Amino acid sequence: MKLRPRALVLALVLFTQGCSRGREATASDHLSWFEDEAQERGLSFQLHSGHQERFHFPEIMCGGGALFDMDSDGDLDAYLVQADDLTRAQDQRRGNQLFENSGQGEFRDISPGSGAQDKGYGMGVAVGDCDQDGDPDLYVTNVGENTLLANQGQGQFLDRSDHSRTKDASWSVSTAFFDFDLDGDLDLFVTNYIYWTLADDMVCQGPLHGFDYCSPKTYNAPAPDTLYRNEGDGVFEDVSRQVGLRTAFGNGLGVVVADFDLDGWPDVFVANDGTMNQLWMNQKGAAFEDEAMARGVAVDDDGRAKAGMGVCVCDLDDDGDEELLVVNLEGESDSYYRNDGDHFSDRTPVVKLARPSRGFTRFGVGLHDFDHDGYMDLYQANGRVVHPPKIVEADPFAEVNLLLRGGPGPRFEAVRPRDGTALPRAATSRAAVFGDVDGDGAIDILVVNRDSPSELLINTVPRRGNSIRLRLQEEVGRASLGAILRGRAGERAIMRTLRSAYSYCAASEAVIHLGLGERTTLDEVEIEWPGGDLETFGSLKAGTTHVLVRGSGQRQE
Amino acid sequence: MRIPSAVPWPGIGLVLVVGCGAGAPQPPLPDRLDQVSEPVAELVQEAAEAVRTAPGDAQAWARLAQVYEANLLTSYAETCYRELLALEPESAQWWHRLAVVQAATGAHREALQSMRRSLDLLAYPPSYWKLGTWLLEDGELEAARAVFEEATRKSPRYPGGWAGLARVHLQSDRPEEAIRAIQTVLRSQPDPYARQLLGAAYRQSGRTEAPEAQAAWDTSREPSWPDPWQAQCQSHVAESPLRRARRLQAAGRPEEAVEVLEAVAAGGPDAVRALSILADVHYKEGDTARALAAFERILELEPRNTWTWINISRIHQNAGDLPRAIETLDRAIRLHPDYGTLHATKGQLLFATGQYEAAAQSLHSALDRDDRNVETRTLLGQSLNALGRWEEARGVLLALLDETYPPPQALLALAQAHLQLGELEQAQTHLQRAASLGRVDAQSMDDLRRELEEALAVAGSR
Repeated sequence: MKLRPRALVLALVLFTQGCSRGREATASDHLSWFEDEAQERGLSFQLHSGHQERFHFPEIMCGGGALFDMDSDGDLDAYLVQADDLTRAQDQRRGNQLFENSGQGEFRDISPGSGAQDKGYGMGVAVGDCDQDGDPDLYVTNVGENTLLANQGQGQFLDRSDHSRTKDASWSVSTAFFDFDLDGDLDLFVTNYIYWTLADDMVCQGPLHGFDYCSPKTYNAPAPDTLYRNEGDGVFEDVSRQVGLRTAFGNGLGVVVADFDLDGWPDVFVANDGTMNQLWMNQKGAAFEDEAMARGVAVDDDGRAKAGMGVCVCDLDDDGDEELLVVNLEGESDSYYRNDGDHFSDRTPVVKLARPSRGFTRFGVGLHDFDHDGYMDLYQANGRVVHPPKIVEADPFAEVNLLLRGGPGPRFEAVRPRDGTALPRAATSRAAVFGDVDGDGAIDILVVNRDSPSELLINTVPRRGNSIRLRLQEEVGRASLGAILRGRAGERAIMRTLRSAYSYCAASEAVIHLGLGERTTLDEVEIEWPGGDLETFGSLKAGTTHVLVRGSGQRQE
Repeated sequence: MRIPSAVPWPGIGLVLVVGCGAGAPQPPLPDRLDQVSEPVAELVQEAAEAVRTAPGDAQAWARLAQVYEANLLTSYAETCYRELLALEPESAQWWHRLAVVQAATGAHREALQSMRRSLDLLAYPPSYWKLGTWLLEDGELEAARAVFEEATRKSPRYPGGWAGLARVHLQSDRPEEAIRAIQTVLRSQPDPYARQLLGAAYRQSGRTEAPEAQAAWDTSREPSWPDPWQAQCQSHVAESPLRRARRLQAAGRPEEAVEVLEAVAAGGPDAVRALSILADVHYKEGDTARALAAFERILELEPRNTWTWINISRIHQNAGDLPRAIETLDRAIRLHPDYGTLHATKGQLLFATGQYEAAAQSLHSALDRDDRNVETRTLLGQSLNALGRWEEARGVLLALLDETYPPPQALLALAQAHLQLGELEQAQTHLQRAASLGRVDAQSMDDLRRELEEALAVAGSR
């Protein structure tokens, strides 16, 4: 792919500056990996935190979004969650925004009249076809009651919160659709942060300044998470207590679903902010048991609970199970938990993530192979939650995001420029949402920023390797969330799970995307569908998106 | 001077120092000291003045450097430590502190060099811990191991060397060696950090059921090993007026505390917190009227401050004026009808005054808004018991058994409900469990035990 002319100009300017400072270009330096094209492509969205004089806690935590194919036309549409003024009546707030993709990665705001303009003080969103009509629905988390928006097709949504019985009134944050009891429909997990109302809001003081945001520990009021079981028709029942979720909870922010022990049942990891994490191991759909401590993911390698925000998983060492990566507060490194089968080992220093991550407060996170060299790279969306101990004129919470190039091992190394764009921009970033927006086969990133425009980072990595994309679908047409792909790329055994919910407050494109380097095929492709059915699909060619539908492969016993 | 957008102060400080040219070095001083909190600004000005008076005095530079470092103005601290090292180039302490502030400002490579320089001059044990930890975070396991091993050789009684070695072992998949290293630490002192590290090693070794494996904390426990240089630096932390007020209160000097608090309460970001402490000071001095007045001043600033309403109610309650206590809560509930804590607090008050029916209603209201509060559920069960609604009470209390730690009072109340419903075996079971947990009223326990024995005797005679 050719560099766009503008990207080239910017990159050359930067390269020149780098030389003038005496820095030598290294093999790890790209001119740039991404270019922000949000404005040019019509994705004009600014998250308004509502901050004025008083520091209301949710203002510093909000910022969510989704990339999903709303109208089944094959391209990615965008949904962005708005917050706005907490003290204002709900009907007077700005609503969430829905953007339709023209097919070329150009967007048009179709919010008015779409029914998708929820006006709660928004946090995050999950995408899943919970009523099994073939269209992906939206579940929006708010400070206060959440909203389920049923997709009616043609860009129309209907608020089915009452009907679905999913109006969790807590301060909900990240959320995920998944089929925990393997009955064929999508259930819903909702992380809740703390027990908070406007009346309880506290004021804290920064190290040098006056008012500042408080920590969740100031409130000491962790809220339990919620599990809704789908009764089959988009109506849910809160089964949190019944399945054991009330036995342990913390200040929940991030959530990811994965079959960590490969027993065929999806487990849930919850990243808690300053309290021990939970690892809910699925007891064959009947209950969950928190095994975070026993399996080594409740705390870090020297026994400390970190401030967990975003989370993602991936099989980074090609051993057939998924590792866990949790991103944390400034001063705390990331937590990279290597999956060793019956337990996890915190190996953050070994994969070289301890040093580069420590200087930032990370929220959105994703492991993707942006340059298609066969190794997962890492993107982190950053922004402080309290004032820094120095005076800055601009947004005091703003930080530059981080891009780290992945290699075998795995090992990560920081990329320069630091966020992969030619002109790194500091902002208070929250959700990072991943997907191929422009249909060129590479992963782009939508970054939601507090009180400044969202960024649409179009992948401009030059001389990318080959890649392949796989859509795994149930027979009814919905994404088969939780389906596992296994295959071979030369000597490497690949394992990936189809998911949309990871990062922070985000719903990313539900597709498996693999960089293949020089290879032109992915071989010995096998899909393990939720419930355990195995099908093989042989070798698949790189350079295209394959749609694998349950029942269309060769069934294995 | 106009500061360019998004450029922090450090750059300016550097310019000021460099700008002094060949003359005596001048102290770096932020030209926007007004934006720093007053206690910090006072300390900085005082220490900077000492440097200006005697620019060749290492002690003056050391104080200014530590004032900056202790109050998080690390870039200025770095400049000062460099000046200090020009005066005392062989000081291990200042190389060590320079390394620490370099690490804090992200100058990682320089920090490693400075700390190695410090160790060349003096084998100060905490220098090993810091250097080894930084190397470990870089994933340089062998280099970290060498540093920690040297620490164990040169200072075998210093826990940091052993703990550091344990961390290297953990990263290298050698949990048993890690356990042995940590046990060396624990033989010399019962250190919380070492225990949580031991927990990690036990978990990694697969011994998850061992009591040691449970050692982990929600609150970060940093090593508490002695570090006199760090302590010396921390002694320069500026004391905020609120902290000073608390110290004065604790020292039995409430009048002075009030004076400090009134000054803060006159305006500014800490006014509400100052008034809250002021109310506490007055209340503890027995001056209920002035405590209430301080709370009323908070409500003038923040009419919806829930905890202030609850505190006012508690003052009335403690004064025996229960109607006013309840009336206060009712006013707060009118402002925040959806805030469960207010309903729960009202329920507690009504229960304490024997108004069980009303208490149950309030407690139900609280649970409608937040059903996870174990204490509220227990109290509801007790209220229903008091009303003789045994089956309802049993239902509420039985649900508490799903909790990880059901309170003993709930078990006692459940035993009572079972007893009244003639379910003697269950009553006995819960009574025994409550007794084993302790922390219940002995008289209630004895009364219930006696009642149960009588019931069992009657049942046996049949």
